[in-house]
Amino acid sequence: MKHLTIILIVGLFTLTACNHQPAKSAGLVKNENTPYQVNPKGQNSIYQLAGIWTNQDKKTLSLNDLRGKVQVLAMVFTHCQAACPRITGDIKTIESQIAPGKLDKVGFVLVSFDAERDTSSQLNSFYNKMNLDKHWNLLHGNEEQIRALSVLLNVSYKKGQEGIYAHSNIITVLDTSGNIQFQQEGLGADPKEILSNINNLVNSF
Amino acid sequence: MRGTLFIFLLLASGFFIEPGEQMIKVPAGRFIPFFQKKGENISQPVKEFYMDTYAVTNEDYLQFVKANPQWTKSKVARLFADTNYLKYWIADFDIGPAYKQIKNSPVTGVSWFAANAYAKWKNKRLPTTSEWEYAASASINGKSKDALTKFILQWYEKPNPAVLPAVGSTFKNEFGLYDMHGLVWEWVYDFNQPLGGNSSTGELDKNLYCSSGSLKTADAKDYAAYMRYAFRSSLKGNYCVGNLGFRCVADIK
Repeated sequence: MKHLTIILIVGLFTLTACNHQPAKSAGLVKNENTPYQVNPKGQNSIYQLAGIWTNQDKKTLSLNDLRGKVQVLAMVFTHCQAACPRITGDIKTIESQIAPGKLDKVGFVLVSFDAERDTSSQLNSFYNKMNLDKHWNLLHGNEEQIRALSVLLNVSYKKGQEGIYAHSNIITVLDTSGNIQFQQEGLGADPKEILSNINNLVNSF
Repeated sequence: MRGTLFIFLLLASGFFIEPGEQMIKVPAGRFIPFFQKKGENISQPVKEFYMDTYAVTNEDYLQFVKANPQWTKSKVARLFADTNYLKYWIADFDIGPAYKQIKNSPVTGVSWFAANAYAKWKNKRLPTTSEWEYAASASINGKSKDALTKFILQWYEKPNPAVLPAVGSTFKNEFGLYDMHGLVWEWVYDFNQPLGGNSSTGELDKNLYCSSGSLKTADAKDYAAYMRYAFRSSLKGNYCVGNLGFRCVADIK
C-alpha cells in the first residue's frame, strides 16, 4: 500500500518536473510533398469527397454522380457583383466552342460558396438569369462540404462583411473519374488551352 | 489507509486525464487580422469558444485511427493525405520503439483532411484562423507583444528536435493554453483563405480575386504572424508536414 502511494507521489513529481523543462522548440520543416498525380487506382479523384449537394432543380446528388462525363467546374456565389457572372460567362464561352455533337459528354458545374443564401431556388434564379442550359448543375451544400471542396480544388476563399466572399477564380477540368486534369486561373483567359484539354478528354472515350 | 489511497488515486487520475480531453474556455474578444486593406483598421469580434489545452498527441491520434481504420497509413487515400502521412509511425497501429517517449508528444505529419476527421470524431472542429490567432495572441508570463514576437521568432529559427517533446513542455499562455508557440505549427480550418481584404471595392487583382484591395499589414513588426500566414498559404489539404500538428475547438452552446 505504502509503496503504491510513494510511487504515485514520485509519479506526480516526475510529471510536474516535465512541465518545467525549458522549451525545446522547433522551426518550420521543409517538406517534399507529392503533387497530385493521376494514378490508375483513382486515389486522386475528388469524387471521393462525401456529402450530399442540391442542384437548381432541388435534385440531390453526390459528387460521384458527376462521374462519366468530363466536368468543367468553378466555385461562385450568386450575390457576387464582379467576378462570378464573368467566370460563368467564361464557361459559357467554353461551352459554345465545343462541337454540339460532343456536348453530351461534358457537364458544367457551379458550386456556391454561400451555404446560407444560395439555396436551390436562388441558384435557379441565377440559372435563368445567366441563361444556362441542361448541361449545367448549380450546387448548394453545407459550409463544411464547401470548404473541403475548395481545399481539393486549391480555391481560396473567405467570407467577408456584408455576405461578400473573397475568392480565387479557378476553372477546373475533371476527367470522367473526377481527377483534376487542368486548371485555368483568372478571368477572361483565352479559352484555347482549356478547350484543347476538354476536347482531348472527350475524344478519349 | 484505504481512504488515503482512494484520495490519491482520485488526484492521480485527475492528473492523468488524456491531454486531448482538456479544454479551456477562451473568452470573447477582438482580434486584428494581420492583413488588412489600406486605410482600414478593422478588428473582428471573436466569440467565446472552447479550445484544447494541448495539441493532439500521438496517443490521442492512435485511438482515432483504431476507431477509424480508413485513416490508417495503409488505407488513407492520397487525395486526403500525401505519402508523408504519419511517416514516423512504423505501422498502422504501431508508433514504434519511440512509443513511450513520444506518446504524449504532438502528432505531426497529419493532413488537413485527417485533422478535420479527427475533430469530427471528437465532436469538435478545427479552429478558424481568427480563433487560432486570437488564442495565440495571449501573453506568456506577462511578456509584451514585442517580447512575445521575439520569443516566437527564436523558436522559428531553431531546427526541429529529433524527438518532439511532450505537450505541455513549453509555456502556458494567459488563456491557460499550452504550447501555442514553441512546440509545433498547427492547422486551422480556413487555411486556404485569400490574403486579402473583405470589401468588394478593392483594385488589387480582380481577375484573380473576386474582391481584394491593396493590402497592408496590421502590424508590420509582427513578422511571426507574417510567417504563419505565409506558411498556411503554402499548404494544400493533403500535405503532411513533419512539424505541423493541430488542436481542436468546440462551440459554447
